[in-house]
Amino acid sequence: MSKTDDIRWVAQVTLFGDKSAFDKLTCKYQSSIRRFFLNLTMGDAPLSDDLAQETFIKAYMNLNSFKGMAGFSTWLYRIAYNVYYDSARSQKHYADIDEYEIDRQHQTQNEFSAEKMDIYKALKLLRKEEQTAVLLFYMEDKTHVEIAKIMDCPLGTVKTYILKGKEKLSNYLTNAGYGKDK
Amino acid sequence: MQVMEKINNDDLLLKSFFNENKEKIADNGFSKQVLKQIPETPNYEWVVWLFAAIGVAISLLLGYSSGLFAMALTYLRQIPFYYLVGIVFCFPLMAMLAVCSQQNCRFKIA
Repeated sequence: MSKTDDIRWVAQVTLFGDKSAFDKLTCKYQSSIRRFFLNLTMGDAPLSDDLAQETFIKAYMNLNSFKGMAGFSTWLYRIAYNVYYDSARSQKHYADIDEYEIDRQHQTQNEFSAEKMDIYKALKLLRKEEQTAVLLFYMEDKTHVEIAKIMDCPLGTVKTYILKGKEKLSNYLTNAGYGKDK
Repeated sequence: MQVMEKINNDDLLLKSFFNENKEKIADNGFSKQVLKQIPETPNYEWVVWLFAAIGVAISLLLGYSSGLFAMALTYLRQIPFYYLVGIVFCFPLMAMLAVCSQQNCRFKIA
């Protein structure tokens, strides 16, 4: 399934209101978008599914504004990024809640493995922007230019976020003994 | 030189770490749930029919008032009868060809 498929499906949705074409787009991108949210929310599966659902609904509602200049995937991640930051801003008042308790609850709910806990622990060391940039770069294989479009910030800033994130994460992983046996 | 080496090593370390943690999330009804949540878009097809009807009405009115229909009728009367019969008999043939080509397109898409 290539980018031309994406454009064909987008055209089918916008011109004929073909919901089955949008279903194909959802099926294609659900995994990466849900994984992106899952990592940003530190493994909160119900929240990440809600955010992913909101992302796809917003994408459907605003499909007319997709110009096709950037790829559909980049456009979708841009919406996902906005949805996540809107949600984070609206939930700021929950910041005082004991984070340890939330983490413990998620741990039991989602039955995370030790490796998964490692990734969330590692991501917690980063600032929100660094988390996003690092996840898009290393996990979702986006280029610096695409990340700049998604985060709507200059290319230099994206490179700084990734560099800083990389430093912090590599220090953490080296100290945790990751990669020593390889 | 050492700095570049460290950056490259860090890159490899992180790539391998994130690749190990990269998992494909199964759909498990997620896309169906999204499809259910999508609001119904209003159907504006009636606008097309309305404008088509207005267009037909205007053209009929203009054709009648300007005497175009009377001219056309006079012109048709001048055409030999067997020509008209031939045209009428061509219609089913043309329609059959149109249907066949449409069916053919449909089969190709499927």
